[in-house]
Amino acid sequence: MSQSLLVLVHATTGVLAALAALWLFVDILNADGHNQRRLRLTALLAMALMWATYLFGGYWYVEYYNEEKALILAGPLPAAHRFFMEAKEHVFLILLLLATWLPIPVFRTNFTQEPANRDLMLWSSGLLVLGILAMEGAGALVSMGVKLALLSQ
Amino acid sequence: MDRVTSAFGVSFAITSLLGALLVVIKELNHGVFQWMADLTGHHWITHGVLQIIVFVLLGIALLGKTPVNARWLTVYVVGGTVAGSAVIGMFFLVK
Repeated sequence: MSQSLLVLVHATTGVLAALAALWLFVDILNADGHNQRRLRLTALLAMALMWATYLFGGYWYVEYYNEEKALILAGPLPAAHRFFMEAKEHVFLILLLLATWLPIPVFRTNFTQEPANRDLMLWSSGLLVLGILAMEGAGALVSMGVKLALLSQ
Repeated sequence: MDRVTSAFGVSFAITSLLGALLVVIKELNHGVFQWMADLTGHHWITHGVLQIIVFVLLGIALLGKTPVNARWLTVYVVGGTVAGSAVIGMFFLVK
């Protein structure tokens, strides 16, 4: 798989994971016992997409990122690596575990009748959505760092 | 609160904070960074693997403890996510 395709798949599965987490958030808001099966599937889908994002992005990061890193650091926007990439690669691991944990309460707790459980699910899925969107934004800034570096050559 | 949800929720919060702490330690200590890089070929792979192992083992260890209630678990999960992310972000901001 080419470098560009790896990054494309990484970014796409990340966006799809955010959409799955958002779907989960909205379905929890409207949970009434009839959408239990869909809630479970959506939680598993968000987790699977986050793991796909981790594996595709991780492979690209370990195998290919060094060349781009050198470009970024020599270019006009070194913060694209020094802050955005460094923070992104580590905060992502927190979000990966959050997405991995999320199906457990979806499968094992009653949140249609327990408001506290429902709040737990809403906070968790909502944070996951915001976190993934922040990762996508940081990824865009890393790409911008590379583009600016190439344009300035 | 369900025992498994509580155990792995608390484990997630603790693991997030430990992961953030490990970022600070490895970035400030070249020996730790190099050890992590040598272990798997890349420091970030080691970091991820360690976080996943700690999450699973700590979750299993906490299964025997009294579950926390949903309100406190929400505080732990949100707190772990926000504090862990904030430590990482602030560290690279001032580094």
